[in-house]
This record gives sequence, structure tokens and C-alpha cells, in this order.
Amino acid sequence: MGLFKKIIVAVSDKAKDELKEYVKRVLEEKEIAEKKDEEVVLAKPQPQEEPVEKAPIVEKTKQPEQEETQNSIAKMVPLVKELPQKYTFTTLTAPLTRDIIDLTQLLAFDEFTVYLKLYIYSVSQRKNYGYLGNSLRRKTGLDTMDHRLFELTLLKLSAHGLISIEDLSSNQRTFILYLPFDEDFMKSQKKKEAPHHTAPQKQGGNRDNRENRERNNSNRNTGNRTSRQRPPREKEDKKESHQNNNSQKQSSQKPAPQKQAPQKDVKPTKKTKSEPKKQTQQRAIPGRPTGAMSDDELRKQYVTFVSLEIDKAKMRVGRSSFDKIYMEAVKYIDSKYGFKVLSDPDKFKEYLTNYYMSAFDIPEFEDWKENKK
Amino acid sequence: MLIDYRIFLKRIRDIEVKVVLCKNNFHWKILAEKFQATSEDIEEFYKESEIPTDIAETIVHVRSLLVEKKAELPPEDLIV
Repeated sequence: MGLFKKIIVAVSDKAKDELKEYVKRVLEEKEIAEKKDEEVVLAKPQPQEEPVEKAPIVEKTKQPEQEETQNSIAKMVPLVKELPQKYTFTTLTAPLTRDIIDLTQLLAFDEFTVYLKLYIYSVSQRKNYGYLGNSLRRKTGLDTMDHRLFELTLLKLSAHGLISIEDLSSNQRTFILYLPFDEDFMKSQKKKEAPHHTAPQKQGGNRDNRENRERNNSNRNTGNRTSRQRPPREKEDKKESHQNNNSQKQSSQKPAPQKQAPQKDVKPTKKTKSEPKKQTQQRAIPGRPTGAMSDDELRKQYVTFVSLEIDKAKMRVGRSSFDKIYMEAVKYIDSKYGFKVLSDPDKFKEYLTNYYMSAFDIPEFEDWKENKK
Repeated sequence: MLIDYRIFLKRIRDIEVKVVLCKNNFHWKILAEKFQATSEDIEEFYKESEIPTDIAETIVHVRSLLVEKKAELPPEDLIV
């Protein structure tokens, strides 16, 4: 029995050992298989990660490009030291002066194209300033140009000092194109008002615009008057025009100034005709401020002037853009003055008018009063 | 407290619905006044505690809706 027991124990021990070895082998095989799987898994996702890494590289390449362009614009040397000023053209045929040729020779192709197109447009419009928008691009044929390229070119031109761009609002921009002043075919708007004001350039330009607007208003007013008021004014005009004609005849007999070209001889005579007319019109306008006019009357006139200006701006920018401006105004008033102002009609109208006045460069009462005087 | 919360929320949401349907300045003005009165009531009621987030968010939303609606409606005459 003892022997049997020993045999059984020995066999069972051996069986246990074999089982252990078998289990070990199985485990080892499993581990090897897992390792292989892991290697395969690690090997596979690498190509998937590559495109993810590529994207930032592209962005990185784009960013440096933008930075480069910005840096290049910042490094650009201004070709012109003066700020562009507002001029009006006295003639429709404006030659390409030597100065402009010298300037444009230095420009790159895109800059040259945009500058020259704008120059031609300015000549046709008889002024070197205006609104910068899609209509301008359409009129100048620059709408086919890529928008980004156009904007970039404008930036470059402004870096050169050949154009100054002013943001009126988020939607509206104006430009003033640099032009070397030429007495033969240009008229400085700054010079006009020099005797009255010694204001900075921008204000000077605005004021001149205001003067033009006021003249237009006065003309419009004269157009709307009743028939009773017309005859005396017409008589006055006729009288004055006769006087002017006589004076012109006298002046034409005198020798003409040496500098002026034959084209110019025609133009100034026209001006001498029109200027006295304006003066007489201004004199004849009933309610025109005189020394004795009270402040209330002036106030009333100013109110009509502002409403007319806003109407004109409405016509100029178009219905849809004006609606957008109104929306912006409402949001601005809400953010600045609070919600209560929106429901208070009087205050809201006041703030809205102020917003329009700043948006459309309408002069304030004091400025307007001074200009009237 | 719970009833007050519900009442306030309902008042504000009523205004929200009416703002969407509003078609003229007169109607807008009435709604704006209602909105102001309601928001003042809420502020006064929750003076000591914090205004519930639901109500606060709805107030902000309705206010922005009112501003947008004001911008959409035709402007009234201007004065200087």
C-alpha cells in the first residue's frame, strides 16, 4: 500500500509539473501574440497621424506668409511725404504729368494698375476723393480683381502714401488719391477756405463739402420757392449777369495772364458768371441768417438742414445700406446709453440724429453757424 | 417662491412671443415698457438672493430681441 501511495504521489507530482509547464507555454504564446498585435497597431496609426500633422504645417506656412506681407507693407518706404489732399479738376482732359509718371514707374504691377485706374476715375469724376466700395470697383473695372488682392494693393498704396483711406463706419470707407498739384487743371479745396479757416486738412475738406452741401441746399430751396418770390430774384440775376457780361467784356479786352493755357481761358469766364449768381441767390434767400437773426430761427434752419443732409445721405448710400446703418445705430445706442433710451422716443431720436451726423459728416450747429456767417 | 418664479418666467416669455409678432413702433414701445417693468419687478423680488439663471438668461435674450426688433422697424422722424 505504501508503495502504491508513493507511486500515485509521484505520478500526480509529475502531472502537476507538466500542467504547470503547459500553462506557462500557453501564457508565453499569448504574450507573444499580444506583443505582435501591439506592434501592428503601433505600426498602422502612424500614416493616419501624418495628415493631422500636415495641417498645422500648412497653417504655419500661411501665417509666415501673412506676417511677411505685413512686414513688407510695414517696411515700405512712402514715396510721398505729404498726406493726400482733396482736389477738384477744372477740366475733363487731364494730362499725365511728369510727376505722376515718375511716381507710377516705381510701383509694382498691381499697384500701378489700381493707382492709374483710380486716377482716370478721379479725372472723370473731377475730384480725387470719394467713396470706396463695390460701385467704385465696378466703375473702374477693378471688380474682376480678386478682393483680397485689391485690399492688399490698397494697403500697399497707402503705405506708399499714394492713397489715404478713411473708415466712416463698418460699411463705408472713403479714399483720397494722392495727386501732385497742378495749377493748370486742378483746384485745391484747401486753398479755397484758407482765408477763413486755418484748420487741418481733413476738416478743411469736410467743411468744403459742407459749403457745397449748403449751396446745394440753398439751390434746392430756391427751386422750391413760390412763384411770388421768383421774379425779383430773376431780375436781380439778369441785372447782375448783364453787369458781369459788361465787366467780362472789359476784362477780355485786357491782356490775359501769361501762365494760363487756352483751355483755362474758357473756364474762368464761366466761373465769373456763376459766382455772382450764387451770391445773389444767397442774398435773396428768405430767412438767410443776417446779423439780426435770432438763435431760434437759426436753430430751425439748422434742423431742416440736418434733415435734408440725412435725406441726401439716404439717397446716396441706398436704402439697404441706410437700413443697416440704422440697425447699427440702434445697437450702438442700446449699448452706450442703455435700453431705457430706446423706449424714450425723444432721447432716441436725439441720439439717432447725433449718430447720423457723425456717420455722414454733418457739421454741428456752431460750425454750421460760423460757416453761414 | 416657486409660484413667483413661474409667474416671472411666464411674464418674460409672453413678452418674448409678442416681440416676434410685433409690427409697429407703438406696439414695440408698449412691449419695451412691459419688459422694463417686469425686469424691475424681478430685480426687486430677488434683491436679497440671486436671480435664477433661467430668468436671467431669458431677460438677456428678450432684451436682445427687443433691440433687434427696434432696428428692424421703420425709424421715426428725426429731431436735432
